[in-house]
Amino acid sequence: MTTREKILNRIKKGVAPNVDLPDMSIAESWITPINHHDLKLVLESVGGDLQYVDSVEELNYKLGDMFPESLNIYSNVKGVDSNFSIKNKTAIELANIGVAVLNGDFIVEENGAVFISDKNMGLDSIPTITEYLVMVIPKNNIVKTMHQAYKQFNLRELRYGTFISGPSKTADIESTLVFGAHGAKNLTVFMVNE
Amino acid sequence: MKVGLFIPCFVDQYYPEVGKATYQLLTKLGCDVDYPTGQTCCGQPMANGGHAKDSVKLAYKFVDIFSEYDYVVGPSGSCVSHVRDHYDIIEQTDDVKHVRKDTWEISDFLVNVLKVDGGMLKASFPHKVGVHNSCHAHRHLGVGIQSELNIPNQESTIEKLLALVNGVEAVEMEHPDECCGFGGTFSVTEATVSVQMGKNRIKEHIKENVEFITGVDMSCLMHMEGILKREGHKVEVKHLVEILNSEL
Amino acid sequence: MEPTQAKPQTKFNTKSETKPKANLKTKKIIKQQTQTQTHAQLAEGFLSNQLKASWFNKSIWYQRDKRDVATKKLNEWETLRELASDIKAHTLSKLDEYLIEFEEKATANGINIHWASDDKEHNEIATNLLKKHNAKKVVKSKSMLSEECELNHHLENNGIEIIESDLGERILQFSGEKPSHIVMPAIHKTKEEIGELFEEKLNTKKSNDPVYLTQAARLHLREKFINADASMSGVNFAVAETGSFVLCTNEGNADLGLTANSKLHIASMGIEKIIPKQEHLGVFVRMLARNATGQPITTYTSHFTKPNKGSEIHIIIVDNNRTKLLAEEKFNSSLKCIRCAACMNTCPVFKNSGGHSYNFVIPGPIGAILAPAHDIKKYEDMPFASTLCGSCSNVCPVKINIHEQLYDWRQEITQRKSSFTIKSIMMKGGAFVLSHTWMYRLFGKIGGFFVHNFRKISTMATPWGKGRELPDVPKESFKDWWDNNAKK
Repeated sequence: MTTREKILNRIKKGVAPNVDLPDMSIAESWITPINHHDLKLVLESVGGDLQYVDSVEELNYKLGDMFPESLNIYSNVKGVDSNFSIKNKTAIELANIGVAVLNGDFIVEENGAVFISDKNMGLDSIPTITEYLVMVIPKNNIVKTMHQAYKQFNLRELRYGTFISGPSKTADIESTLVFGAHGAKNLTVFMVNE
Repeated sequence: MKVGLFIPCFVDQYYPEVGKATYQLLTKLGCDVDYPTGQTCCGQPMANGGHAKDSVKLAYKFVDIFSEYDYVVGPSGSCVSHVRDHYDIIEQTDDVKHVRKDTWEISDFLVNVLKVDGGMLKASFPHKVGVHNSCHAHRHLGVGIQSELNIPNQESTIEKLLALVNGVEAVEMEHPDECCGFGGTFSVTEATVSVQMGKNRIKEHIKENVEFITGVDMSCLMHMEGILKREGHKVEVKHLVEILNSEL
Repeated sequence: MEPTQAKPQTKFNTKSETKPKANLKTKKIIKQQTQTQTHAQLAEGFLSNQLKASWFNKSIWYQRDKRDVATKKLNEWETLRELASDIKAHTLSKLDEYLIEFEEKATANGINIHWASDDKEHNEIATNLLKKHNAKKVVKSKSMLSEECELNHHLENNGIEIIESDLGERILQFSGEKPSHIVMPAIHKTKEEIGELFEEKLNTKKSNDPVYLTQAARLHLREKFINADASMSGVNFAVAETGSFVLCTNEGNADLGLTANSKLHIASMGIEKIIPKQEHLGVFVRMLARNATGQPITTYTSHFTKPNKGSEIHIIIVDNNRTKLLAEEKFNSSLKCIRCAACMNTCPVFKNSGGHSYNFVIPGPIGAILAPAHDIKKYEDMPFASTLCGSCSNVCPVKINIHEQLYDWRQEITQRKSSFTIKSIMMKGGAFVLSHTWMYRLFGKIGGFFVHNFRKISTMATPWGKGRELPDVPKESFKDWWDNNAKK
């Protein structure tokens, strides 16, 4: 008998009581109108920043203010300039990315998390290997709760996708919160009015 | 209403005043109170120590003694919760079911069965009192406001009853429902941790300058009293019934 | 994972600030951990450094307080607990079906599934995979299952360098310790201790500044990420209907491990990590971080369905006594656990004895009910390391009746073992006396006489006397008073 069969047989001897799967429709009753002020507060509480822009021009202008040109900037957002190509780069070279400007799929109001799927990452490592992360989202791509969030995409059609809520952080040294553990040290979300 | 007085073994031996106050209070409130003298112990110390099987005889004895009363009332949340929750180790006869259902912790009984008000109590206790919410009454019997739960409008029988007492200033602690560390046999098998937990509790009470620590479990109070005395603090412990039974 | 929202109050009390720093170093009592010492003995060691014990207590309270604030912001919190409990309970009742579904879907997605009966088989599968890919340097994000299997030790014996990438775990790898907490593995270490450790291991300058030390670890581990041949992780959730798995971290170390350079990822998952559907993730992801650290979600909540081009993903599904637990009617609901650690953060015994006083890899209340299923004899003290206060059950996001299981394990432990221990004879004797009213009265009188007349000896001779006085012995018992005054 293979280990697989052994384990499955042993599971069959289990005596966990039968319980029906609960009806998840109750989660719909927890949805209230979107509140951008609450989103800003929660994103700030997790160390992120939220800004609104009317156009890509305004976004470019703000990015120019935020980051010096000397940084390696990678962008896959239409209209935002890159000065760094990710083609044929080794991991060591990719670790030199200073700023990544990426399209996020959508944002979640209750926790400020931006969902980004692999097709928006450029390369899988970019959202975490960059020193600073900027995510750009159309203003209407927002949901209230994680229950709604999980209805926005199908895991089957995804290779890799992650919710990112604020910059990378740790409190492993005496519970003191420090930003920039391994991933981005700083996260700004730009919501673009369409 | 025939009430059987359930006086836990250590209250009988060490805190007779608590037994008296319970009796006098219930009598004052119009109950027909009897103390069946054959009672010994509900079996909780053995059961918590992992020897519930050895306590089966005690459970039968308890039911045998108390089944004739309408209600069984005791000044100890943990003993009452043991009867209610753990007397599933004996056959569930009608008597057993009756005793399990109708055994009450005193504060719960006063608030939810007798529905007492200030006029009925006429109690006065002009002192600053710190409330100790003992775990078995608080969480197992659900007589208090459980800090971990997000349930609005929870009520506390201790708070309700103290509010009926003239002159008392009841103080809530920073951590209102943290365990004192008594834990039955835990107090001796893990004596160091037990005492440390007790020290943490009394520290909060002392910080609030209370004169008395009160609660509905004499065992927790005995544990804290032992530490208070050892460390030379003036704060005293008093079971809630003693406060409720204080006359004007 | 491990964070927070505001700067915490982890400063020592005023007394400590005036004392020299040397006081904060525990006399390595924690490290003397051996299987022969019981929780009570190890806890005594922990409490012998009062200053550090008080600091530890405060830092765990800080976690509990953040949890309370976060969970109370959600009106539907208690309903979420119900949903989470039901989803997990349902899954456990059809675990084989969901595992098979998961395997089918994951395999179709190009993920390789392996099955391991126990820790040994798990470690062998992992080692063989790494050897086959000629992987010499492996970065691993925090996995309690890999701790349970003592994987690191096994890999090192096979010449594979395994690098813990979670900051807390890396600190412990440097110090040679085991985690003392499942979410904040190095919560027992002060910043001074970590500063000294980094001076030695990473050549940092003398510092106890968490920002500086974290930055040093970032640089050190970046180099490891970009040179790693392979990566490893645990699994927070595995979704049967899609064959995907989810990893939750705050540091981003799991994502960086998988994506920076690694061409081989191995994820170890206990059989109980499965959930049926994608929509169920909403429930658990909303609860996990809120209950663990008070955050609204972990910084990274990452979903992996397929390997990237040129990479491989392997999942090792591990039993290691979980099916044994599944067959225990009273105890199998402990398999619902999602490892949020809230039960530790609320447990007054944990707060006052530290994670290293529990001999099992998972400390605290949940550890105390999981451990006996692994080895009832070896961990027989753990269910007794509790006052049964019930706070653990109240904070549990999947509504495991932890305190009731602690009580029930106590019964199992005493029944399954020889009945001729001193304690069991005393218990039987006690029950015998108490079942006879006249004997109870007699013993009560004798006891009272002793306490009254030989107070000093009675106090000193018993563990009760450790830090506590015995109650005064009244002139008459309640029964005596009743007979004389009230009897009808």
